[in-house]
Amino acid sequence: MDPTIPEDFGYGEEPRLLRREARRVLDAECPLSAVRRQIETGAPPDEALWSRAAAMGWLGLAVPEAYGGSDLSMVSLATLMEEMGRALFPAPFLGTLFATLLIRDVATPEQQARWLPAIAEGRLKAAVAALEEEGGWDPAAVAATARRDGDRWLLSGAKPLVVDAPSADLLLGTFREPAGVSLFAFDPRAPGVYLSPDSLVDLTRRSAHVALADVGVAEGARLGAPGGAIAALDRALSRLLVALSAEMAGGADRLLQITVDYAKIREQFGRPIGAFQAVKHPLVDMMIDIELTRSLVYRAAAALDHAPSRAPHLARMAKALASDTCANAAAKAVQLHGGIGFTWECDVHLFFRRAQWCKVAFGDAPHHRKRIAEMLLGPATPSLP
Amino acid sequence: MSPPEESPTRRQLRKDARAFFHERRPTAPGWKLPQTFLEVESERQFRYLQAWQREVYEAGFLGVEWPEAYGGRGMEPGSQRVIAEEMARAGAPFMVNHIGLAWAGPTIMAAGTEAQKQRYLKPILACEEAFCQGFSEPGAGSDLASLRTTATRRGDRYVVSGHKVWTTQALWADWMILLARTDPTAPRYSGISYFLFPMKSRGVEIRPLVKMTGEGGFNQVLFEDVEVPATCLLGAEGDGWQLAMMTLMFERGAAEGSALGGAVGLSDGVERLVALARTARRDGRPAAEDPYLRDRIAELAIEEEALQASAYRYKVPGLIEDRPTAIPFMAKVAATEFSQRLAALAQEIEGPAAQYAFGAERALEHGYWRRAYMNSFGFTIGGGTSEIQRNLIGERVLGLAKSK
Repeated sequence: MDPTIPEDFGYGEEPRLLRREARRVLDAECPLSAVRRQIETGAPPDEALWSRAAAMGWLGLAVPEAYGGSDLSMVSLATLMEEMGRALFPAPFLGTLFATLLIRDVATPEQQARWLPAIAEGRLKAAVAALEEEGGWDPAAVAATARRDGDRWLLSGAKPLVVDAPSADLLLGTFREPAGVSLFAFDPRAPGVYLSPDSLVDLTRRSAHVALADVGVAEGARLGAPGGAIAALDRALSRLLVALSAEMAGGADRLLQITVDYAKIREQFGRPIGAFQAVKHPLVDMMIDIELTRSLVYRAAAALDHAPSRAPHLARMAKALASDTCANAAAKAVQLHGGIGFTWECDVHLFFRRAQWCKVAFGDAPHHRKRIAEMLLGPATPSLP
Repeated sequence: MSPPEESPTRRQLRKDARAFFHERRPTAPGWKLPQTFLEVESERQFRYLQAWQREVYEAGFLGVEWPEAYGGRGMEPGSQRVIAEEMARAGAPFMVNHIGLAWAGPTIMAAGTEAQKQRYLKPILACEEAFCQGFSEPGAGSDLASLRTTATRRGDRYVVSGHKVWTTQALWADWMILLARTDPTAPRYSGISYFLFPMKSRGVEIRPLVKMTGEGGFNQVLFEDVEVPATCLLGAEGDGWQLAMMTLMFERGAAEGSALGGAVGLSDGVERLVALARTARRDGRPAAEDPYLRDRIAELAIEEEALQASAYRYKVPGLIEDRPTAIPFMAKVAATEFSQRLAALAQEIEGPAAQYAFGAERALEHGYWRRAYMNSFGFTIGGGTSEIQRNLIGERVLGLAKSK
């Protein structure tokens, strides 16, 4: 019999408490006014918020207990991400999470001991430089190289849009070597690493173009099996897709709430605009999309916890649906706010901008649907005999 | 999808149901069967389906969550759903007394007297007595509370006069759940009462209607001074509107209690669409290779998975804390519009063959999808249109101001 997914999604006391705590802390310490202040002052990510995230155990959520984390379920991680999405959490969480997942899966005990406790305690931020310009969202399209130079490796290549690279203390990247594509760790401040921060549509997120020219790293900088990077990335990416989809669902839901609240107080023609079906019905459609997306996100998360063979498929489904849902919700939210929704001072555009980033990050909806179609219908064009 | 993790009892039930439906599923009768309970148009179809429902009930696979005292088996919630999944998997015919099982029955269970529960529930399960629904009228559709059929108290009887429409299975039903105005002077919501009305009474005239598919299945029902015993009343006089809302919650899959064990049934799935895409051709190749159609099919596969996941999520309190009523309220509109999109996409996958009518010799699957697409509108309109559903969700779930 197939490995199966529990009817209750494995959603027990743990994620319940986590949600309650996360909402309380984020409401109090990360209000939209603070997010906006950070954006408008151009200040680097708030260290106090990062320390708080560490103290709350959020940074160690995916870290094994032996290294100071809590190794909670994927369902718990999705819960936290949903809350972070609601709050527009402006900290470099995603990059560090991505790196944590890879380190946990493939690094040696020595490497894990070096990095994971530091991540859980908030002393180390990380990012993953995996995708390349030519390859789009295909992690296997790697032109960057690692070549031997005595007892060390020399890394070269270019990785665009590396999320959370500007604040990272540690970078992991994919490089082609004789054994195939391998993962290497490198210091973003090492000689030969050129980091140019990007200007992103999402004002709460940072990324950088990372170029490497013969960056020397020690033998011990390689993570996992030689040539094993793609398999490792595939595993980590399923988790990352679900985590990001949860964040997107949370953001879309907050946007719905903001727009519903506005439709209740804004009056035209002597009535609250929410009384008009031209406003009411699109809000309901937003809600339906969001509720469906949440269900799928938690099913995918539960599959990662309990039925790994179904997880890659469900993770792609979740990302495809979340991409459409958050983009539609963002568009509707601006439109239904009317003139005020088009202004800088209205918070809607902050979510709108994040939605634009999220919907394409790590594969947009058509990209993932293409893979789903391959699983349902076989290859698009049959191979020639 | 593979079913979620199940308890040993549940697994055994699934195994038993699978064996039963596999073994006992009736062979095609050699004449046209209706696609859903809305399209039963002949006595022959009705009797065939009635016999099948009785067999399923007698084998212990229907109404299993209802109490034993009323003909059920008192099993835990979720049990009937397992059976329903197996019934669908085996491609077995639907349960014809749908209105009794899923709408009238649960309402009687919730609001009936002990005597009414004893009287009506078991015959519903065994399909000894079928139900139809008398809510809509020519002048009262979405605005149901404007209904004008009257029931006037005369001693220990009521005299019913008026006109109902879109009445599914009126020709074979023994009973109608009937809304009639008992107090013409009362405000519009409080003057309505709810009756378990005997259809075989004198003065009832049934006029069949033809649907856009060319099929029958629903009717107009005219009442000319029909006398029925006062004991036909469900609840108290004037409770009709509240009881009608209760029935509609069951009908829309927004409340639990159906003997069919589930939300609004999805008749077809993406699996069937995939099979069609492998058969149909486009540009000289299987339609399954067309990039546009592949994207659309994937989109629906994702939506189907999300709908199924929602049916489980709404039972997990921690995952619905922010909006506990959202999933039940949206169940009807989400499921019926999904089915409609599915059937619409099938037309595109068929390509030129989509020109053939239902029943045409050269049509793919005898034009199955033509009929399915047309019939899908019966579900997006009946039981409260999608537009009315959106008003309800906007007002009850999101708390927006009323639309009038």
